[in-house]
Amino acid sequence: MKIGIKLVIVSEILVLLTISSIGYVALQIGNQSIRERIEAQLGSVTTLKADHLDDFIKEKIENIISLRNQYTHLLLESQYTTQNGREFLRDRLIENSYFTEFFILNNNGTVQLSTDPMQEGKVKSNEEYFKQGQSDTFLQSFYYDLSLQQPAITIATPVKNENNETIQVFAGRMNISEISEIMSERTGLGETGETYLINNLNFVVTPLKTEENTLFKKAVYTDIIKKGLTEKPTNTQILSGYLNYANTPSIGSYVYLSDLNVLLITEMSDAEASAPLQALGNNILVMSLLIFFVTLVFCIYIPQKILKQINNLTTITESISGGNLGVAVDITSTDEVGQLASSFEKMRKSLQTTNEELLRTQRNLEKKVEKRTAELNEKMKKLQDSEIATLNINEDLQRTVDKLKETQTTIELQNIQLKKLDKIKSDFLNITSHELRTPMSAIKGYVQMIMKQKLGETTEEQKQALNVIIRNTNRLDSLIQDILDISRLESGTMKFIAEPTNIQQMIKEAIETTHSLADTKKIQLSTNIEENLPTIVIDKERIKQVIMNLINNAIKFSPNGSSILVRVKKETDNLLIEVQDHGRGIPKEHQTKIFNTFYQVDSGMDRKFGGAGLGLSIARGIVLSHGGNIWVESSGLPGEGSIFKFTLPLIPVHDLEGKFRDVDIFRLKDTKKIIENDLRNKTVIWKEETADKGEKS
Amino acid sequence: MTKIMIVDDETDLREMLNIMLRKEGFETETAENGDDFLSKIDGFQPDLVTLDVMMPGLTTREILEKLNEKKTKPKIILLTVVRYSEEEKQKLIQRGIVDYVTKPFEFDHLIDTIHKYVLLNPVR
Amino acid sequence: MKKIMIGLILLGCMLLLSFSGCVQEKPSKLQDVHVGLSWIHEAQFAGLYWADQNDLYKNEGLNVTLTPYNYEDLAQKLVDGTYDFVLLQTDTLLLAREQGLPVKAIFADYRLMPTVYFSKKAQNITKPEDLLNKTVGVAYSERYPLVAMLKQEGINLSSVNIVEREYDYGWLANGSYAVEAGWVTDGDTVQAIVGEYNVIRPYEYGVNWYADLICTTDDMITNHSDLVEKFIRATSTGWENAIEHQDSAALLTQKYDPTTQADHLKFVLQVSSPLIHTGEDHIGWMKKSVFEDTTQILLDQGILTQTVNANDVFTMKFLEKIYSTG
Repeated sequence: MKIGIKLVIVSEILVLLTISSIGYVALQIGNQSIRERIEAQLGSVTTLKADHLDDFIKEKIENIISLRNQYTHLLLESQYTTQNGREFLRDRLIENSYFTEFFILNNNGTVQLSTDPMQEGKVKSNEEYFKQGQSDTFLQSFYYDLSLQQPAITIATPVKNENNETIQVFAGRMNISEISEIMSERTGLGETGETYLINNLNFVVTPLKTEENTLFKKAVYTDIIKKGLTEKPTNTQILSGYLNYANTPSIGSYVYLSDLNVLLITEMSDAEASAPLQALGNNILVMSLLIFFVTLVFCIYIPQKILKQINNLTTITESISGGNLGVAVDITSTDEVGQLASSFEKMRKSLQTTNEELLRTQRNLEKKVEKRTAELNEKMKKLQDSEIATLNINEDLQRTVDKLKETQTTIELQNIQLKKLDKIKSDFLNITSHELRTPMSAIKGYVQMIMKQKLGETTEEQKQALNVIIRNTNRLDSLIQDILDISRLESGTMKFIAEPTNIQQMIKEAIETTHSLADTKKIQLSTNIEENLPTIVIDKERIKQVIMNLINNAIKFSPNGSSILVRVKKETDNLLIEVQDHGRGIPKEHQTKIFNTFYQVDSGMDRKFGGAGLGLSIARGIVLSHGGNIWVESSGLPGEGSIFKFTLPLIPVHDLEGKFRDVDIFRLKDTKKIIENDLRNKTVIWKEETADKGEKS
Repeated sequence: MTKIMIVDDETDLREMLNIMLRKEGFETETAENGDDFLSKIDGFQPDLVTLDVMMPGLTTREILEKLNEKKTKPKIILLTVVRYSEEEKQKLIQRGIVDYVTKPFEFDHLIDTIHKYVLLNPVR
Repeated sequence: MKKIMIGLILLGCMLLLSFSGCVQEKPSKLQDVHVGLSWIHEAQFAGLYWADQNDLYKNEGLNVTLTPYNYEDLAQKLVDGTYDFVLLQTDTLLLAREQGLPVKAIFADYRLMPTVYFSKKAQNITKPEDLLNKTVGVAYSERYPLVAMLKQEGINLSSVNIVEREYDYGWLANGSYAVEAGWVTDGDTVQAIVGEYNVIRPYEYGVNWYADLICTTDDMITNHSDLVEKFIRATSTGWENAIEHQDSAALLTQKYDPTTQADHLKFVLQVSSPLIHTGEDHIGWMKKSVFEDTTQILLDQGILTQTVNANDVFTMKFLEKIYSTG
């Protein structure tokens, strides 16, 4: 959102908040004061009119009393006649225009004399003014005079003789129009304001503003009247928020006039009462709108300059990033924006200078480069001259390279042939293995069945014969196994299964298997295995095979009753396993050769003991494949025996099969070395050497 | 009676296993290669199969795959010439091979192995 | 939030319905009330008509039937139970009571006697003493106020020729009667036949009684006071409104008798209203002195043979209750 808009929004919100809070307070205060003013106004009008009425009535009562006195005087004169009386009354009537009739009642209540002849003879004995008027001055307020068919007020007062006995009642009847006029006098109450009187029977006795024909006909039961007639307050009271006789919400003041027995009410509509408040509200609203729009205009106008500057800077920045450093920045003010502009300008100037320096440097470099290029060209010419000289050398080199390529091809071909050979060997071994094993399975299977008498009973002789067959079958099977094993080791196709192995357990199994053989020569097998040996990752079955092979050899070459010890020790990086016997030992010159394939120390002896001389070489192959070493320690003296030792690395050798390829069964390493030497002497010749050079080279 | 099917391409071995297992009290049937085995399996509904690994025709893997389409799902014991590592054994188990016996086997070893997986007279 | 609003609105609607149901329950239980009027349908009953046609009776739970006069003994019919309320005149009420009928007045329509004595204007008969040596035609109870007035004025009865009249103002017109009695409501008829006229009003000469008193049995007052109060409350409000809106109230009569003439109805109510609503007290109000004075008059003239206790004849109980609570 743009700054300009943000500014406008924030300012307007502030303005609105301010105005609404001020406005609210103002209206509250206004309402209060207007209320008070209205109430005061209503109250004062009521009080005013009440007083006015009071005074009026008092005056009229005094009039009657004085007239009665005059009449009494007249009556008690000896010349008095009814004619005089009538005349007197008529004359007085003319003078007192507020009255509409003067009349005299006798003690029966009959009208004796009246300014209205029609009334003479009528009986007024039931009227209150007669009854009360016999004893004291009485005002009968707002009653409906039936013979006259209009509302009236009559003041009656007793006419007494010298003995203070009432002989007559003097009465004057008033038109209520005068009072109605007092009520309807304007008092600046506004359009809806009016004053009227209600009698004790809830009847309207002075005219109402908004309804006609209500005198003594309409009964009103509004809240203000209910309250007024119940409380009959002599002090002006205020009531607000009620519905008046026309069902308009109104506010009014009221007072009870006890001498007239009427309730005086001044009321005005709430709408009119609160009109000033409305006006105030409207004013506030108008002002607010004004302020709102003025603020809006200023908010839009004032930031214009600043925004203009900022936009200007933006434009120049863009042109600078486009590469044009030449346009200067206008600095049009000293405020923060101006300062920004001026520092921006400084930056631009410095950039400009830097730019020019760079250009200069660039040009210098270009000149140097030109010089250098010229120099190089000269050198090139010199080189070209010597090029021809080197061509000859190149030709020689080329010939040598060609020859090497030939050799490489030959070697590659031979390599392929070797690989083919490997595959042939591998297939051969697999097929051989299967072909050799199948007949063995059949033979062994049937022989065992017959032995177990599954195919019928067998005689003792047959059982003996079968035992021989089994023994020889097993021997054949072993031989086949060994030949297959050594073939695989030599061709590198032996499959190892590496798994974490408990050496102690494994040796235990080996001993169990070789135990029976040991027992035939009463040789004691014992172990000395170090405590807490770690589990080692090796091919359990194969290493067991190694140990069993060593043990079997030891048994073969140990005299009866001797002992064989299998020891396991933990070295820094290896486990060291030893098989010690007390046999005839192995002379030094044979100690390495015995591990060769088919090698036997004493062919005669070995043939006696059986074995084709493969065991140790198989053992060697397995151990070397595990990354270990195998050797024998023997003094060579008969009886001192020998210790066959081999190590197994604690950190497992990954990819046992791969590792084996580095192991040199046929000591090809030596052969390789010879080839290397020949190459250095620039002759490529195969040379065969025997394996006697020793492993340690 | 428990039914065992013997699958081997060598006639002598096949016959020998047939006699051997019959003597032990199993009901047997033979097949000479993968196709023969697959065609006979739903008819015979063996509980266990001894399967030779090196046979002409379908490879062991193909046989096992086609076996999934057959109704009968027997337990299979491979007769093999090589040992298997733990990893390889797990793979075999996933394919339905419950165990293996290396050739040439000891009579007792084979019978014991078979007994591990089937009863002679299973409770029906 | 929306859900709360809908829930509140529904609740509000349900409450409204149940309330309106409550309000509407009343009409289904309207009590039948039979009123025997003292005359054929006329604007003199405007208060009751107003209450009837503006559902004032209905709102009090009353189903009111207004039966016009059919030359029957209303007091007897009241006691029989044919009517629950009847309109009697003060003299007929006192007579009924004398006969032991348990009837009481609870509301007075006319508090000033509507009986007047018409004469041609030219005759200048404006006061009782002008009746000397004149022939006055009266019917039934129209005699009693005349006699009372003459006595009051000290005029010798024999010097006035009081005759039984025909209900025909033609006799007044042709001079057979110098003065003919009637109700003030006959004024327009008199005017039509006789032309301008004068009236003598008994109440101007100290003779007054109530006319068209609403009466009911003692039993109703004691045992069904709720019903009575409701009827009176509605009737008095009806009268207040009829007085305030005289012209429209007068025309309500036409609902009951469409043959009535609008001008006549308006005239009737116009001349009746100052007699009904005197301004001295609430409409319907009764004073003991009126009953006592009337009893005296009737005794004097031998109409009543024994005193009737005024307290037996009327009760202000209902009016006082209604006007105390406003």
